[in-house]
Amino acid sequence: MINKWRTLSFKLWLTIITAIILSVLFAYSLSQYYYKNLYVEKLKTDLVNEASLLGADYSGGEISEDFKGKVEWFNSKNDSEVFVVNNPRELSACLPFEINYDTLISEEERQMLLDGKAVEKEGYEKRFEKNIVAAIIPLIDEDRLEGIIYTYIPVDSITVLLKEFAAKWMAAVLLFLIVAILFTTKWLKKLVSPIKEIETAAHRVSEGNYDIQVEVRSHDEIGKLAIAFNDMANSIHLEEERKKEFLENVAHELRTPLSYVKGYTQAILDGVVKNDEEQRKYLQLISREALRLQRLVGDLMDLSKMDSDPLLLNKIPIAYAQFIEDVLVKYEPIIKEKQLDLQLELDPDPIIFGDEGRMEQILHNIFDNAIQYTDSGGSIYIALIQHKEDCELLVTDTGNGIPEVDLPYIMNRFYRVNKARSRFDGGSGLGLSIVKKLVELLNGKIEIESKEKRGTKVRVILPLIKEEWNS
Amino acid sequence: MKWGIGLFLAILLLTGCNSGNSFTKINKSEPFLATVNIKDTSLTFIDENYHPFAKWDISEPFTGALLMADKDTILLYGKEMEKVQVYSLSAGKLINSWEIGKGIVNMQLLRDGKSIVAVNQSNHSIHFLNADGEEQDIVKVGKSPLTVLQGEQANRLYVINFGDIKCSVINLETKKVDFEFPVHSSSTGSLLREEKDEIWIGGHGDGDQVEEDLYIYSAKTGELKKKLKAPTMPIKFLENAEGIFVLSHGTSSLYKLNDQYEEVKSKVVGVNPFEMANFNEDVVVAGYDSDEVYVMDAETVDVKKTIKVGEGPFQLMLRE
Repeated sequence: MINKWRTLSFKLWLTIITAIILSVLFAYSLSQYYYKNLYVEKLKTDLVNEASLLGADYSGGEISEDFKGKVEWFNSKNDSEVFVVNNPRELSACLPFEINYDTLISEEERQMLLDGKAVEKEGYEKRFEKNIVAAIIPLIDEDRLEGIIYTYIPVDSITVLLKEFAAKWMAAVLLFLIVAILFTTKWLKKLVSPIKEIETAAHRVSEGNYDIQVEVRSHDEIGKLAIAFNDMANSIHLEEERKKEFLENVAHELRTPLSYVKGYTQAILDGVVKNDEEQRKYLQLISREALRLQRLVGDLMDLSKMDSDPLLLNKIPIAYAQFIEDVLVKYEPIIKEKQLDLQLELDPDPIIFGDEGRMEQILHNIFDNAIQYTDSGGSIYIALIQHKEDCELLVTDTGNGIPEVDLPYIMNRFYRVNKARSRFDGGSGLGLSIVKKLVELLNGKIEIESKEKRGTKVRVILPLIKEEWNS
Repeated sequence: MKWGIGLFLAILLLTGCNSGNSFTKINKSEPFLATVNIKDTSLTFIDENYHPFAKWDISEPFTGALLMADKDTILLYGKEMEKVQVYSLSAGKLINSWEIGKGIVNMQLLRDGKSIVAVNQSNHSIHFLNADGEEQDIVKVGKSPLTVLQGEQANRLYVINFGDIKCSVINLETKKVDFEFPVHSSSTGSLLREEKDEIWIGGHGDGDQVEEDLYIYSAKTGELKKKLKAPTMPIKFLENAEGIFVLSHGTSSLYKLNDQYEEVKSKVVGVNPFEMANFNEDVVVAGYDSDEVYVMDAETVDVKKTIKVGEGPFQLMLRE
């Protein structure tokens, strides 16, 4: 079993739940802070204001019963407790004498009050046996602390309120947490399940099962990952198919000449060959097949080299038109023999940057095809046209052309237009794919247009050497 | 590092100087009135013309002072102090200290000029010391003794126990408690009128009950002879040619009574006064909360002068 704590979904779950719990705690601290700093402070200020307003009625001298009565009346109408104290014993007047009695105010508070300052209190008050928020203001007559107005609110009521609030709050928090956890878990499951699917699918792909496709349910990153995965699985599938096909093709291509060689050799060995002339003919056939095998192996090695090392080209500046003419010289005899009409229209300006051997290979392949597939008396038109940044080599023949269905695959490896065509009139089926590869290595492109029975047009576009090279 | 050492040495030097603390020297022949200020633990010296001329800031939690018979040596004591500090006024410095333990709340010089009475609240005892601070006798009394008063005629010492409801009377010959008599609770402050066989005792009251009366007991028997109204919390009494003065610190009032115990005059004076004394034929009152001394005309009871002193004047010490 996979360690549950290491899963992405658990990590995400933990992160979200931690964030939620931290938010709840933060909200709680904030409420406590506001309670403390706003509510209690406001309460104190209100109490001080209330006591000060009452104290404003004191006009000095001994505190009268009338004044006390007024405060008592106010007390009976008011939420907070408020009373007047003028007992000196309560006002710490006996200090520094040690008295066995808890006074209402301490000596420090007496000093504050004597200085005319109000005293604010918060917490448990032994005298009232309860938690209070209180304010005390002095009643001063010529520096003498004649009395005090003491006003307080039992915070029990606030605590009760808070408890009630806290209980409800806790319940709400609990509910919120349960809902949040349920929702988060479900949501994460939904979110993570495609990843799990992809994981399973990847395992199956690694086992060689390329047919698998992951369902794309969303358009987010995970959805895109699923699409990318599907593309990857398809590509691997196709590549595997191609490899298989390629091997089959190679085997097929090798088998035919080998069977010829074996057959002719066997015939000679068996004494089927009666005379020297026949023997020679057979040996020629064996030699031709050996040559074909040699070419095939050569082409395969070229392709393999180009696939594994794209930097094998030894590039030098080439005067393109001259180069084409030099290559064409070798074709003069066969053109003459086939009585072909060759027309040349070569712009002498283009200079390209290429590997001479490879360029020759490209041209040979294209010219071979044009000459081979053009019947006697046909014509071949070769043009070199310079554009702004590149140049175009156009080879047009009046040959038998390529059927439309085959055209898209014409440059695939081992692709043959005429499947039944004997290898006597066709190559290995690798020539055009090598040309395409070479042109691409030279940063160019090759296009083939063709109409059956009308002819074929091959266009090779290669970049020109830049100005600085020319200069 | 060098800087640190320098600073350390400087501090050492300064504190070294401080330990030999010297104060303004008080001329031996000069009469003065001194206040013991317990909030800022200082002594304020005031001359005959009521000009403060010296202030001694003592870094000890002392609550009382006693002038010795030589009129130059003073003792400083406090409940939290381990030692009684002995200062010379003319030298302006500490000259000795007596290790007699914590708990001393009052010290009095007996009329022989040699014996000192120290009231110890920690062990509820009266300690008798000689002029060198050596303990001679110790007498157990009631709870939290505070006020002591020497009677000449019978050679007795009246000890009023603040935390008890009895007054212990010690025979100074035998150093034994002669008898005890019941008094009101939280009693303090007293006046002995032997010729009338009266001992006046005031007090603070108990709990939130404020003492509104002063009590006159028989000095010989302890029998309650009379109760007089003296609102509120009468804690100091004084008798001179003008009459008897009663200081009530609850109402910050001074009452002047005649021989027939009748109130002749009364005046609001000071803020929370605890102490009163005769000086220069005037009555001086110390206001604990207002940090002031009030000089009052003994006849009219009018305030003649107000003098600012240290914080919390709680006791007066006289040299005449």
